[in-house]
Amino acid sequence: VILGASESGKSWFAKRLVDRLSAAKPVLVWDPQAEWAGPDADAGIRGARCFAGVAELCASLRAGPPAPGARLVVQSARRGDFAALCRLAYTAGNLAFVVDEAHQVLKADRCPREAEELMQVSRHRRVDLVLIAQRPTGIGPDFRDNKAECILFRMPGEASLQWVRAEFGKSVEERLRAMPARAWIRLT
Amino acid sequence: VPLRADAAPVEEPGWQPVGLEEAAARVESQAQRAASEHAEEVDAERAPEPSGVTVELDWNVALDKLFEIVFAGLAAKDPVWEVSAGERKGLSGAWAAVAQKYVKAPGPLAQAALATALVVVPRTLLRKRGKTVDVAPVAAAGDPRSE
Repeated sequence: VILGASESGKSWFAKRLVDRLSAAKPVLVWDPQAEWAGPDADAGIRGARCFAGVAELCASLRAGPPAPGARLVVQSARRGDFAALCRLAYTAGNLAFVVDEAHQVLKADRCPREAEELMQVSRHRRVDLVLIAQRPTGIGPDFRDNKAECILFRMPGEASLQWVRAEFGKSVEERLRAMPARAWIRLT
Repeated sequence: VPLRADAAPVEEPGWQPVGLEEAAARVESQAQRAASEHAEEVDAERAPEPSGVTVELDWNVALDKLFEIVFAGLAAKDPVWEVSAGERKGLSGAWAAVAQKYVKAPGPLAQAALATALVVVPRTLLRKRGKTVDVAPVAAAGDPRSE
């Protein structure tokens, strides 16, 4: 889970993280803001192929297998597409799945069933989930609290900082309050 | 590097990875339905009920941040407005939290404050990826604070 305010540097960090992921697994990226690849991307990921929706991605995959370690970026803002992408990851297994702007699609009260099911079996099916959100309270506890690792960037709002304090202790909260943009804390 | 080199996966009994090509074949019908039937877009927060004033919002700016900026301005002018508990139920969580923090006004005044906030959002925040959101009218009958 990668958390941080807008302009805190979390997206850049996440992109570089994806660039460093093993080529042994394909990577699916949910990119509703079209920021990970393509003409509007700022420091986009390497070797990405962009799709306007999951239907287009499926058609491409059926036409031929992806290259090993392919970076497949779905640039859609449709909730149905997100649910279908979760189902694709659930069915395929053995991949990494990056969800940018996770607070838009993984809220506790608006999360698609497909995402919950993927979360439940992700470890068993070798799916590495990377969730990127602006604040911890923006994503449902099932996703937020089952993390193996947490990267914290500067976050606004007392609720976020209180969550950090409850989760990681006062010292982490104090460090976060004093932290400049583009700095991060990694917690495992 | 694997993300979780220290955490060996526990296999799900009876399950084998099928690969993306096979998965795509199984999921394609759902994906096609998603494209045609479930066109609702993700959004940072729910918009208020439609009514009168139209505002272009930059969805690159988190809405709660947007409101925080604007409500901070409002609170500096009049710190006595408050959003009632009932009113909060009608707003999405993030909006309500920010409204509660900065605006103290019962009932319709809270709506008026939200609408005012949207109307006075600086134009610099209203660019790119513009979407139209209808918000409640600014006027709250008879109360000079709505001005």
